[in-house]
Amino acid sequence: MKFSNYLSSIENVSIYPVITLILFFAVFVGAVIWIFTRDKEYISKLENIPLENDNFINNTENENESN
Amino acid sequence: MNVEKFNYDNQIVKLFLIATIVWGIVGLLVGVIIATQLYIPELNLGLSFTTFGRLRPLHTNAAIFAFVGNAIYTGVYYSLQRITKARMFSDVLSKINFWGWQLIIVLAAVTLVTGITTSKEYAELEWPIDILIALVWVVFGVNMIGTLVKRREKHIYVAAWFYISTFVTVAVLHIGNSIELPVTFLKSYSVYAGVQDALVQWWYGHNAVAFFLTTPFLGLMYYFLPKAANRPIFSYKLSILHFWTLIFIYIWAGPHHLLYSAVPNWAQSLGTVFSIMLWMPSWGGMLNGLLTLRGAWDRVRDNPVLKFFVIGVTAYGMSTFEGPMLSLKNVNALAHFTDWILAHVHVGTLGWNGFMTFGMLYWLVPKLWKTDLYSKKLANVHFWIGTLGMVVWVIPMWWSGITQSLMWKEFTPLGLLKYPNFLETVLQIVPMYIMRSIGGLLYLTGILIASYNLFKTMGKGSFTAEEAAEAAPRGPVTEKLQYGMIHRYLESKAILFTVLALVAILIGGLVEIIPTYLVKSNIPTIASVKPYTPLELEGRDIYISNACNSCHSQLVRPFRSEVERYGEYSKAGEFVYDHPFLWGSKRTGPDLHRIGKKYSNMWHYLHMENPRSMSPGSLMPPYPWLLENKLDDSNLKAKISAMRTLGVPYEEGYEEVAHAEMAQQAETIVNDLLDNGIVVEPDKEIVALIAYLQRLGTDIKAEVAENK
Ligand code: HEC
Repeated sequence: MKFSNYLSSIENVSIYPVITLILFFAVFVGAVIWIFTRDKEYISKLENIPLENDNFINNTENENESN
Repeated sequence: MNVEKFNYDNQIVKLFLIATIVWGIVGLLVGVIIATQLYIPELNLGLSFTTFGRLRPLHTNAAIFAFVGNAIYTGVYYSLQRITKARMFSDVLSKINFWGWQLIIVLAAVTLVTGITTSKEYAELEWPIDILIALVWVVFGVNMIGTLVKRREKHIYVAAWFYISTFVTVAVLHIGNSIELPVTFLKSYSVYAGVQDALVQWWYGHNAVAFFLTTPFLGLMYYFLPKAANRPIFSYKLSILHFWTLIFIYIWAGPHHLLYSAVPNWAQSLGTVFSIMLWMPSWGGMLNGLLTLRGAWDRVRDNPVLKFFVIGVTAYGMSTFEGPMLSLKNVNALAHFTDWILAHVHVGTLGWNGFMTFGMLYWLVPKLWKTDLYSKKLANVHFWIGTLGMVVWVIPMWWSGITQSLMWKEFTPLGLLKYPNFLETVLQIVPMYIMRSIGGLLYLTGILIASYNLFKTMGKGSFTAEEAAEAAPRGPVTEKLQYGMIHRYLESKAILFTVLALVAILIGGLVEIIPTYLVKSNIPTIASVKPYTPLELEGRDIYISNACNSCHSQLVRPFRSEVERYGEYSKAGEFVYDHPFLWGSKRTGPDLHRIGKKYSNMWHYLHMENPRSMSPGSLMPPYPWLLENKLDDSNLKAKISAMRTLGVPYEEGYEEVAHAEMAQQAETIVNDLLDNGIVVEPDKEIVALIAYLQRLGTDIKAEVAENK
């Protein structure tokens, strides 16, 4: 009796890897499109969130000491 | 302008921070102890509680869930409040999260050393604790999502995405892998068996690395690295790309833990392909971290925080390069079951998790206690001693892994194994084991220095539990969706985002797992494979309780060298009654799948009493208590009927005769031992264990014999 590949008896098992690949590719393309359609200002707003002053308003310049 | 005043909750951050330090010391100390036990078996102290098999899961659980877990909470509870400009959603939930988690850790420590374990790696805890973990984890998630919902900052910073995907995925993994049928309050059997159990376990195990040790730390990196360097992340766009690709690809890569096993080939190949693809997003993250510091390397030199981050991120890059490499089939054939895997894991945990945590602590403590670090010099000493410790840990383990594996595989010109005695290959690498424990000791010294430094810093500063802050409330989202893209919209909807992340990982999980549900009906049942006898079943539970699987695999791979050494390679159909599977992941001792009938009962008896009497120089700990302890068979009936519920074909009513059958089989073994001059009562644990060992892998021997 041959025990390896016992799953090959499931019909069309090879479809699983194919589905996976397509799904991944779709997500990847989606992410790339999203990234390249952002404007600069928006990205710069986002990337500066951690650097904003945590305690006071109207001061997006950070005044953190660099420690 | 409308301004709201509120307070950040620093108290909860402080609690988690102190827990991180304390559990870090405990977890690493246990690590050093078990590393030393491997070459001085006397350090097992002759007690079941302190023996290697019991302490090894204690070490892994303490390091991962206690040390790293509390570090994650520390960082999340600090940073999430700042990037959302809001206090945590609920103080009560924060407290439940903290005390609940510490309770789990204590329960874990107590149950693991007393041998209450499911045997599944990084998921050893029994079902009542599993339920507790699920509850506390959900509390954490609700607290986070609640904070995001009531946030004042309009946008959600990328770190929060990593936190949310961590929450969602770990919840799914934990629940999926912990589905077990309780037999008693502290004993359960996995509902999955054999191959299926292995697939679910490594879907969990691999993704626990991904979503407990990686994604939350990437989130922390995206917050604390810019903060400490005082400049934004190198590329925000890259952070988004690598987020989606990472969470989507990771979930598929689990089967790379099972290459050359009895798992279906297509699943193995899928695991390999996705593991290699993982390399890209991982390095995207690493480069994003390192390039944030471009042009600021002079600052790195005299800033301990940045130094720790640089080594941490670099270690991440190293281990995510090594990981895909290890999932190539030919590399895996060499590395699997050896110390190489441990080296790989420790680059990740000591380097990435450890150093990122220390960097974060050195930044946070002065911040929270409004003072400077007590001693920058000590922090630098910690940095160097920790780095040295890592090097002395990892390099000998690479060396010993490769050395031992090559010895396992080496043939003489006549076609015989060059080292037929497994022990010979172990003794060869003992010097490496000694080096490794020195490396661990250095690393532990580092964290002791750190805790002194940090507690001194706390002592000279003043801590504010409630930190005042102000921010404008977040108005309704006024902008139209003119940028047109879904993500922007989602981003303003934290909950929707959570759902989407869940869908992304569920798709991956399901496509991988569903076919394994079909496995059962597709495994060609091997006629000669029969359920365990009652005595063997009890023996198996003793094997689990003493965690023999922490040193022994039960999976002979289809290589000439393994078939020659151990016997016929393992077939999927042989494991259909194994709830849980016991394939193991490390061969500190030889594979045991074909141990049945290899030695006499007497050999096993003497070997368990003192391995060195049978195998001079053996590193296996003695198990004298198995000779003394009475077998607790009071749950036998419940065990049989639980197994039947799970699909093991015990006849109806078998429970009633089980005790009698057990006594009969025990009698046979006892008589055989008596013939060899060993007097033992039939109700001792050793008898059950011998019965189990003698059964292992023998069913198929009958088959092979028949076919001849
Ligand atoms: C610290 C790791 C370690 C643990 C834990 C451990 N062993 Fe071992 N075991 C070894 C080593 C190393 C050898 C090889 C040397 C020898 O024969 O003692 C071995 C050998 C064996 C052998 C002989 C295998 C052969 O083919 O010669 C058996 C059987 C065995 N162990 C059973 C057990 C059982 C049962 C347990 C749990 C109660 C256990 N071991 C726990 C390390 C370990």
